[in-house]
Amino acid sequence: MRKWWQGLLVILALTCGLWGLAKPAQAASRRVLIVYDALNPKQQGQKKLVAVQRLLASAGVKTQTEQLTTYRAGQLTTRRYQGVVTLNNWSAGHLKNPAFIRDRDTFTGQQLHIGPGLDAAETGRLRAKRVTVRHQQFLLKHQRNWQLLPFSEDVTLLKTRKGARNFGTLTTQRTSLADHPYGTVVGTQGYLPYLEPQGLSLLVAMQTVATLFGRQRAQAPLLTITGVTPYSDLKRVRRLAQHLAADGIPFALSTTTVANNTSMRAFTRFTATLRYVERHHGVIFLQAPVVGAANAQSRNTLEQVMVAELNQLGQRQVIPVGISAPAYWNQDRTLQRYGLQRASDVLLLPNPTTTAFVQRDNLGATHRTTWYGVTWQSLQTVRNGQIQQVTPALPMAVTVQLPTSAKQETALLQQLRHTHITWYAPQKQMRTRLLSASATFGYHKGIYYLNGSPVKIRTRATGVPNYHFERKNFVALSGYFKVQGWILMAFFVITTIVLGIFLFLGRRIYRRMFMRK
Amino acid sequence: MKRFKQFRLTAWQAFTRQVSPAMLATILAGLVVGFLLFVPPLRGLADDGTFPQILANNGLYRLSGYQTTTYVNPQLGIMRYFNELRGTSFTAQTLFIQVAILVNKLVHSQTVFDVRFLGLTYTGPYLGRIYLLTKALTQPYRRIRSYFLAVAVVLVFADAAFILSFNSFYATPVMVIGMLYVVATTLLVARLRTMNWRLVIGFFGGVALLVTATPQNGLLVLCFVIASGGFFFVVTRGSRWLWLLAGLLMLLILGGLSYTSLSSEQRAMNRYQSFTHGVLTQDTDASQSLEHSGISPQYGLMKDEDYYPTAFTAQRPSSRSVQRHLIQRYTGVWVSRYYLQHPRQFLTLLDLAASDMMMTQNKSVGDYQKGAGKAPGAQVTLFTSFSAAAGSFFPERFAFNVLLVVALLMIFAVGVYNDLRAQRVASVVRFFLVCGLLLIFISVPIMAIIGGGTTALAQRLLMVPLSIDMVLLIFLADMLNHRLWHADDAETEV
Repeated sequence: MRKWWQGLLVILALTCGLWGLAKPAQAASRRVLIVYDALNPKQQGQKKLVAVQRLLASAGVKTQTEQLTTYRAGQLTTRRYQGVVTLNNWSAGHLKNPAFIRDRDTFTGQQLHIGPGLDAAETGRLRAKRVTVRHQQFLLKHQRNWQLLPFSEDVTLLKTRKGARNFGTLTTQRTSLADHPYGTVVGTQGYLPYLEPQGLSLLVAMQTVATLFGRQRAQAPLLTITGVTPYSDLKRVRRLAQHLAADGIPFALSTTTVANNTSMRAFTRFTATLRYVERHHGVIFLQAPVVGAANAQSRNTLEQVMVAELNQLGQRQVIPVGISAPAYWNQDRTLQRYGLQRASDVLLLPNPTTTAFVQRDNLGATHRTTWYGVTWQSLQTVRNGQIQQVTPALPMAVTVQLPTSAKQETALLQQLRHTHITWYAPQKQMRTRLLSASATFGYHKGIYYLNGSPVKIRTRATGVPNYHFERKNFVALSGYFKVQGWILMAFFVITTIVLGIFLFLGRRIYRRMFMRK
Repeated sequence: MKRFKQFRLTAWQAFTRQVSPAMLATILAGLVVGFLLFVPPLRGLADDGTFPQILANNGLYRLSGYQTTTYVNPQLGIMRYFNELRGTSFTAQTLFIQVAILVNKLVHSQTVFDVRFLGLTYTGPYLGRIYLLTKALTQPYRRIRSYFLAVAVVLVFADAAFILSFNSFYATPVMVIGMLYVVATTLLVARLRTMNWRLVIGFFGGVALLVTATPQNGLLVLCFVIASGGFFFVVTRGSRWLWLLAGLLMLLILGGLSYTSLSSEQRAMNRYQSFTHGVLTQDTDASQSLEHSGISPQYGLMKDEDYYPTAFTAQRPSSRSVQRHLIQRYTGVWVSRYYLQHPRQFLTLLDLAASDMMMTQNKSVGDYQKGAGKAPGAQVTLFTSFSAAAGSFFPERFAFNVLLVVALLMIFAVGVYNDLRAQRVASVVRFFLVCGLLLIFISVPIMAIIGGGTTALAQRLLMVPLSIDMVLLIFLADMLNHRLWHADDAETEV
């Protein structure tokens, strides 16, 4: 009787547990489908697609990217997706997939249309009127910031009604054309007439995406120094950290490191510099290594490399708060799982010119905080406008390259001093967690944690096993061989000298042996 | 019993009348080559990753199912349309490959290239050179020891370590053929009474093959200029001196062109790996030894990294910062100064080179075609006795090599002294040749360590075993023919 009760209890508990587990899991695993028509390199379509992927990742939404031609009928209506993003890069291509249009029209989740080709049904759902404008140069205004946009071929703008939430204003010099909104959100529908992945456009697009997907997290941008490697000019890194600290500018530093040769003095020097940064109110992001070649072993190698790098740094009280990587790492199963997934904070940087995928799956994952890395230049150039005040709607990191000359260094410091941007201060707000295989790194409001206990950062590393190159291992009989070598050497030298003396004494007889008379 | 003895004698006489030692060597070498290259299953050397560039350069492409490192690819595609990579770099190998493609197109197919046609193209000149070399070593005798010498030549140069590369796109066959050419012609010139210009032209042709076989060989032209020094003792008339000088000048230019034909990327790669696999290989802290050297000690952390990283790395070696702060500063002068300051490390590296140099068989890649029932990367074990023996018994110390060079030079110098007194030139020509070969023997390991560190060392040292094998063969032959100490008056003809 008792057994029967117990069995029922176990089953009940299991069902409850599974149900409890399944519910949030399903909600979290619902992705947003990004459907793009073509990459269209001429219009930098690749960059735009990556920007959309990164925006959604920063908004904390998992994504799946699909090309229009590979979209299967019924894919959207399976309730596996919480939203859909239509990205049109190539209006002249007139690429169509009727199944997609049909499914999208019956889809009830969030919808965002980016670029040209907004159809009547979508316009209807946005409760707006389409206005097509040809050959115009627009000025994007948002609060006190502005950006001058390049000449556009064909832009579909919206005349929205009441109830629509608009972001940014597009104005032209032509007075006859009224101002139109840039980003529009009406209920679960969103629209962006174009996407320029830099400057003010990006910031406004960010706000639109954040509003549409309900993940507003307005916070100051994080100043991040990138391009640091163990081979960088470490004095410059120190100087930069010192100046930034003196000016009260909080910052992060994204650096790669090595997994091998860590017993060299060069590595001690490198980690000492990173500790110096930590002591000067800088936090460290560990930058993912460069992928040289991808093969079947990459998974294991990456795991080993990442763990070795983290452990070698952790042993020397360099405690990274997160991992930074090129954006494509988030679209690759292996790189994402063995590289990024171990960190709560991930900083996605712009892609390099060549991307080396290991196991591309086009499934964008999310992390507790995914920082969107934007270069400082892209916010500063004349074309992109002078951005006075930035409060991005999503976590954003403004990246600056480590200067390579003294001139660049002073220029950068000047610019940073004179800007009005308030920077994100990790010491006040940040809370992160990072796992290596054996250790847990933590950071909470200026205090570093290693395996849960707080760590004091000193100028010198503590607790590092000291490795002496010079110390020789004891080898039995090595002394004997050494002595034997010396004896042999002495023997040969003496013999040679004696022979030489004999040769000198008997040189006439010797010569006569060869000389013919 | 007596009749049997008589019969044996007449049989031997008949044999020597019909088959000269040179003929015997050629037949034996031909049998070995024929068996290794053309009797199924197909044998050769698999691609170690360097083929695609050579293939593209010659208008060939990889067919689907192309294998690397494990199995040999018997078939390749012949490009039919425009090839933008054609002729981007010129090596002597291109000549042979183009001839092979031509023959293939005439006989076999317009679209598919069978690698055995390349083997065949190499075999022709190779057998001819074996004939010439054996002749040079044994002429004019037909004694038992002459036939023994012929067998020795076959053992050394018809070793599978060399022959297998005929069915591949490595530069090894070109170097083997070139070396046979150079030595055979020089020795014949030495033994002839009158100057045979065909032989001198042959010598120049051989040197041209050798120095253009790979860009690294370009510098060896200096050694061959020394090796040809004896010709100036043979040629007595002034106008002919000028011809010789003009020929040598052409060779120098060719060598210089060959050496400078490396692309900037290849040069950067050599420099980088010379740094990470050479300068940084030491037991002590590599980063400390870089201090105050003009290169940031932080680069010490690059120890053991490759230019084309096989997995993950902290910074791409082709990035601008590495190019500017490491590769541009890492010049020949820098390396030489570094090794002068760290002689012990340099000697250790040279010892490593000495232990690698006799490993002529490329064991890192497979020798069989897929489907031959062999394991991936399986090695041929037939006809490898000489390379195996040399690889395991040759002393692995650079100091030994230096002593060997001194001893050999002293021995051959005696002949020069005696010949000059007797107004003969044979030993003088031979001495210059040996000098040149021994200079290769000593200088190639040094250049290899400075120029590229320890990466793929055995393959970059190929000229070393070739030259020492030649010197030892000359030594053996002259000892058996009793002309080590002075030339004899035996008649020699071509």
